[in-house]
Amino acid sequence: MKTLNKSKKRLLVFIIIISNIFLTSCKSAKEIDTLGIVVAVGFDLDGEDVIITNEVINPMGSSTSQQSSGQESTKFVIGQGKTIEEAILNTSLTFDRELYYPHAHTIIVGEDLVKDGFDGYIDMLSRDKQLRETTFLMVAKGAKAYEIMGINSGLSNSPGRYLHDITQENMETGKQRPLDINRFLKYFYRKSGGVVLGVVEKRDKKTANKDGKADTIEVLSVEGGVVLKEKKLVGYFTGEEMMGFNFIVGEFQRGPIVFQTPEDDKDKGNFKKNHYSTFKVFKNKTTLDMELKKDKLHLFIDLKLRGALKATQEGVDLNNPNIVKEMEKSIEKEIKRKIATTLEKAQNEFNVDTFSIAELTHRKYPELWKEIEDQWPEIFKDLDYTIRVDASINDVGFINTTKKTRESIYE
Amino acid sequence: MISEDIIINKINIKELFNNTSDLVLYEFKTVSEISILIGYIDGMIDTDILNSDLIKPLKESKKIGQSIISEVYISKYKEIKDLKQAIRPISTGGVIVFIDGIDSSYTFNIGQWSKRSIDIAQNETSIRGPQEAFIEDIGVNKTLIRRKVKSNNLVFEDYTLGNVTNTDISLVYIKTIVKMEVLEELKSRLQRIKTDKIIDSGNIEQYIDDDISRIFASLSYTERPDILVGKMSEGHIGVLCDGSPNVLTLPKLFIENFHTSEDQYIRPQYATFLRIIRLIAFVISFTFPSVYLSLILFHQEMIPTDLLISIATQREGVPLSSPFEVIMMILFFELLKESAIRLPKSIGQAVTLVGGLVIGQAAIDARIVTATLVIAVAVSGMAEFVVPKLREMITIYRILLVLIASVSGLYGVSLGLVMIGVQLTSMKSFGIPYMWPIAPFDRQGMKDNILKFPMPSLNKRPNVLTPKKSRKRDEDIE
Amino acid sequence: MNNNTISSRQMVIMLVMFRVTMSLSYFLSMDFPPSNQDNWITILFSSIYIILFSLPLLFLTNKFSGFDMIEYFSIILGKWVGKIVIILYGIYFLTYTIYLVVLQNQLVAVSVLPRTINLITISFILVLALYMLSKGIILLFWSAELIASAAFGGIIILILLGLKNVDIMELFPILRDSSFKDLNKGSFLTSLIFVDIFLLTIGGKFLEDKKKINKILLKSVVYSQFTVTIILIVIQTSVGLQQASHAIYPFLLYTRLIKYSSILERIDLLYVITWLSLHGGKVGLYLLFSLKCFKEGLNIKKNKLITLCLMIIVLIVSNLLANRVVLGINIVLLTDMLYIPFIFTTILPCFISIVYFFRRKTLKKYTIEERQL
Repeated sequence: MKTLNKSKKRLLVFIIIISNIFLTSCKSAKEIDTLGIVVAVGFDLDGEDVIITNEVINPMGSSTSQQSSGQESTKFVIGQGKTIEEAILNTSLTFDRELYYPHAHTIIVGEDLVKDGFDGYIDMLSRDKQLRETTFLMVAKGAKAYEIMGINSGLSNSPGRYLHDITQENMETGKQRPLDINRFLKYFYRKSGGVVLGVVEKRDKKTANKDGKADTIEVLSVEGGVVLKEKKLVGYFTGEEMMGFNFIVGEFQRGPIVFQTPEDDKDKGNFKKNHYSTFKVFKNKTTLDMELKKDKLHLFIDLKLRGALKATQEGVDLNNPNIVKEMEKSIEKEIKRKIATTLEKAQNEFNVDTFSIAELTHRKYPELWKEIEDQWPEIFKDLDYTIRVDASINDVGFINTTKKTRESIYE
Repeated sequence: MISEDIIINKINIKELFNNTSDLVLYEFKTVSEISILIGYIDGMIDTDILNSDLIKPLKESKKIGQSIISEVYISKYKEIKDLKQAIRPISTGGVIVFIDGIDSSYTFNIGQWSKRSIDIAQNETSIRGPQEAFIEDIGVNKTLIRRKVKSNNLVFEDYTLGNVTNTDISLVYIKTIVKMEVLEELKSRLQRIKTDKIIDSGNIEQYIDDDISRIFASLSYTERPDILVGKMSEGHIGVLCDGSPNVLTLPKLFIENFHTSEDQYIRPQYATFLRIIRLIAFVISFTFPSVYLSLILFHQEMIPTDLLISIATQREGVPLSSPFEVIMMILFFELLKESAIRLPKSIGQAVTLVGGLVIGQAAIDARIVTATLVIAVAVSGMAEFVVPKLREMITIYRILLVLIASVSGLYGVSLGLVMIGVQLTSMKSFGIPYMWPIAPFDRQGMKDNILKFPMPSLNKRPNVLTPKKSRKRDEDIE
Repeated sequence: MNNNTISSRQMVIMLVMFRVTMSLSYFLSMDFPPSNQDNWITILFSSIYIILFSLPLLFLTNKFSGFDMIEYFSIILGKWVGKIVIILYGIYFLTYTIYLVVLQNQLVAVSVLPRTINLITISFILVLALYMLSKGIILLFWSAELIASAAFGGIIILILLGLKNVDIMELFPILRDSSFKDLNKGSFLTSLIFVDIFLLTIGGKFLEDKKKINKILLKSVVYSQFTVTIILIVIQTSVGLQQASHAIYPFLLYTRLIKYSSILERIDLLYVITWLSLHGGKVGLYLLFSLKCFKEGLNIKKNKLITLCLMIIVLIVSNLLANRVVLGINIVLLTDMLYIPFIFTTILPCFISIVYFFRRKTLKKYTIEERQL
């Protein structure tokens, strides 16, 4: 079924292709040297206007063949407008490249913007084609976004890279909340409850400068979390409370637990005074369960974790078989305390369910959920809970006693 | 017409050959006083045999009349009554004998001329396996094939093509394995050829191809007898051409481009690994520049951020736009390839070194091209040499895809690839589907053609190439 | 394997891929009742409805094996009524082609080439369709074996790569939130999207083994619905239920989440490419169907003129539509438009089979019982 003559067909195809090369204005081609590659973005509120701070890669300053003598590898471009989109497009009036967002790895939102209500700006996050859904979203604690963005106190090339690398997805402590846009929107759109976002704040750190004198530099810290209730900021979790939070939602993978060392001689009390040991968690599994006890919902939080004893202070004799068990009990007590503090704060101070317990109830008791759905905030406020922790130490390092104790054995 | 008078014959044959200077006519008398005229082309016969086996017995012959011819010690002769038919044997190393008083002539074939000795294959090298290659003489080639197939079912069929060159063509196949429909189709196409010169098998290919306007050929070629014999036992047919060291094989399957002779002689696992590498190299060679171009022009989000920053650094200050850069680099690479073939061997190496290293490096330093682009084009060029049989297709389609990519990015490239896929799978070579065993999927065929299973487990011939009764390899062919 | 036949495997692959591409662009099923986490059950159920709705045409194709749909329509209905019906079908196929071209242009304009003018993207896909048209239906099926299998493999790889983000707990509680009536309605509406039997009826003439038509349909329905269910589950669990129903192109959203150690990021383009290669085949085939219908209906012998006419119509109309309309946003309108294919796939053939029952005696010579004797 040869519809057109073969050579005419080829000619037609060839003409279409070649003629398109000359229609340069209708193409979507963007040469790389007309783009300003943005690696970090900050949103701020200034009166009625939105301020956007973009950190753009400076190609000249990143080349390894030149010594970057005074040339920064990134440049900050600021735009202002009534909405975010307008602010972005206004930058083209003053900046010679087109801003290119698909490589933006972190978005920092100023505190003022979140206090004002985040939902006015959410739409852009999901509608925009260029932004990645795997970008980290963070709130600047007690500051504006542009104050946070210029700081680079690590070994990275640029402030944006530094910020991205301290927001790791695999946390080493449990004190952060690395949340990307996709998961944020997943929790944000749920009918009940709130969202906990990551936080970044500026801190002063003491260090020594070249002359050996004490000096302070600014570093960024991602410790803690910010709680949003109905799209507005209601408060912050500290680092310790974040550990409890991560335990509850099952995202605590590794982290240090500092606990009070138990006393081997029970006459002196349960715990040694001012004596702390460190336990590092390897693996943790959280199971949340909801049960109906006498017409009242009761939450069971079960944790099962194992880890290594990293260090203890002097005077502990691990030869005593009970000591390890006592240590485990002390660890469990510490974890329970952390979780209880977080839940207290969420229930009483913020009054918002950020732990997806609503979804858990829905899954377990769907018919009951249909009735109590609307009163969930009140129910959550008075929710009873039981925390059960099962910790096991399966690695104590290379020694089993400390120096002092051994001396006392062979006396 | 041959007359009884030898003098008239001499004049006629001289005129027939237009008084060419290398025609030798020698007249002598036998013992019984019979005049005999012999004619031959100088340099095309074996003079020892001429002198001792032809002239000597004739001169000493005491016989009279036609029976003189039986004195000659040469085995085969033809009796020709029409002088025009005698041209052909004389031009191919024959000697014609006229006897005074007999009105027919006799031609004996004692052709011998200098030819290239059987050498290692130049273009299809392998580490393991037989190393001999075909040469330009069709007789020697036929012998090479005979030496490998010692069966009475090996058949040669001769033709002559080209009314100026009168080239000898020969079909070769194994009668019980080949498909009759393919053979008949081939013969009918050969008979349709009416042209003046056939110099190389490549000329024949253009006449008998399914569709010469497309870039994929329906015939393959080889210069090694072991490859030809391997293919014939699968049901292929070979076409030998006198004067050409390349033998055509048909029908062709696309997957044959990735076969080398070595695959049958080395360990099967390694052969499978090499085949997969060749397939990957093939795909890289014609898609890599266009994919690279579309990534840096249209889809910068797919490039990892660090790589993008490094490319952006290199791009600063480069004057040409990316499509022109890519096309320029590809053209430059084609220039390099072509000049490397044409240069005399003595300066070849030095010039390619200069072209590759110095100009490439200098171009990067002068900021005319970006370094990553040079790498991309160089990789794709190297990959092209892994599959040499497809180099025509790769070169042309690579440029076409780059042109499409400069317009519409990966969208156009993917549509172009779909078009190439449709073109490949809808092609037929002499009635056999071109992309067998991939497109009409055949599990048995995959065992030998794509992956290489050990020979004991391959006991069936390809079912598209052979008639049903000769499918099994372990049965005797009758 | 004969050179002029289609093997059943090629037919199954084509049918499966046609159905799966419907779910990879905008995915209406997510908004059908019950629009909650039980939507995957509706898709599994819809396979029953699909088989049910394909029954009239399947029955007719089995009876008149050896003829394709166009030929046996004119046999059953007589010359003039048959021609009218065939032209109607021709117009339907042409409209469907235009719809497919506009859909593809929209996906490309949104995600791949934002600033290219629509005429260029449309003309690219029409060049591909024209090339495929010139090959004919049998060779198209042959090339489908290679291209569709490769694209299917690509989609499976994409699904596997994104499994990291899947949170299976989103699917619970199963079946508690939805009523049977809702599930039924959802299955019914979903089956309207996926019922697509014209390949079998028009290409069935060239099948190698015509007795296997029922088996082919069954196999293809099972495979395709299973794949679509997995796609739905994977999208809903990784992106969240609300985001999935807000998104116009859910699978695109899913592929944008793939992230592996900063080498494989933002490879959503690969999804667009695999989808395009399948879609191009669909456009080509539907254009071929409408060409056949018009040729038969208007009694035209030469291909050249009518192909050119159809091409120009498709080009102009889809360009006009692409510049004005955004598909995928008006869900109510799209759901209502689903009834149009339903008419052509089920209701009209129902009437035609009723006519066949009345005329059974006179048509005996064409049907299969007579010819087997």
